[in-house]
Amino acid sequence: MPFINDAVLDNLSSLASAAGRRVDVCFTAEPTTYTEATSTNSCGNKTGLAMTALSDGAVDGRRVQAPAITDGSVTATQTAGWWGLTDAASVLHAAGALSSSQAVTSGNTFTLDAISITNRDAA
Amino acid sequence: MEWLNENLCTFDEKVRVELGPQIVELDCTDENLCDTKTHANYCIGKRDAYGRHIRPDDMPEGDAKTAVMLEVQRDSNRGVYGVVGQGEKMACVDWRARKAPKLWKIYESQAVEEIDSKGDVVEVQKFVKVDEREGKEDAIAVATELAGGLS
Repeated sequence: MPFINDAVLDNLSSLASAAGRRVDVCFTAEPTTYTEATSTNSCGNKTGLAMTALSDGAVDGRRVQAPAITDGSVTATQTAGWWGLTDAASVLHAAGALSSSQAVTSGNTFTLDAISITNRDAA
Repeated sequence: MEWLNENLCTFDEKVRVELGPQIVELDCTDENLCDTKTHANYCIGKRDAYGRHIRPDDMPEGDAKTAVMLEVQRDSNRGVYGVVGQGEKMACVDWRARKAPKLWKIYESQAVEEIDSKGDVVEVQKFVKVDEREGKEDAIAVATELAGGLS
C-alpha cells in the first residue's frame, strides 16, 4: 500500500478522469514531496496521463487508476525503486515502491503497470 | 515568490520551499513494523524508505521469499539498497508526523552530474535539498536569501 495524499483519500472522485497527470520513477529514496518526486529523485517520467473514471475496486470499495505506461522517458541512468504520481504542477497524489527495483538507462523508455488508488469498504 | 499551493512555494524556480514529512530511523522490530506505529507499506519482505529490504530472512519459506531473496541478490549485484536486519535501524517516511514533525524543505536548483544515453557524464538542473526548517517563516527567510532576495 503506497502513500496516498489526504486530499485523494478525502475525495477520491477529485482524481477521477483527471487529465494531465504525471508519473515519475525515482531513485535513492522514497519521495516525500512533489519536488522530490519530479526532480530531486526522479530518473524518468511520463506526462499527459488521464486517470480513469471511478469504478469498483479489485476486491471491494472504489478506485481510480493511472493507466499502464509503455513509453515513459528515462532521464537518468540509475536504479529506480519507487514511483510518484503527481498533477504535474505542484501536488504529490501518491507514491510507492516498485514491485522490484530496476536499473534504467538515460534515453531508454520504461514501462509500468497501472497504478490503482482504492478506497476500501469498511471492514 | 509564488505559492503554487498551500504547501509549495517557488522563487522563480531557483529555489523552492515545500512542506513534507521526515524520514525517521527506527529499530527494525515487530513493534515498530506494526501498522499503528509505521505505515503499512513497511513490513517484513518490503523495502524501507531507502530501498533496503526489511528482514527478508524472517519471511516464511516459499515463493514469495524466493522472489525477495532474488531481488536482494539483484540489488547487491548493482551495489544498491541492501537489507535491514532485526534490531538494525530502518528508515521510514513519517507520513502522519507521528514521530517527527513535518518540515519546510528548502530545495535549490543546482547543476548535478548524471550519465546520459551515451554513457557520458553531463550536467543537468535538479532541485537539491539544501536545508529544512520547522518554521514556515524561517524557511521562507532562508529561501529568500538563497534566491538572492527574490520575494
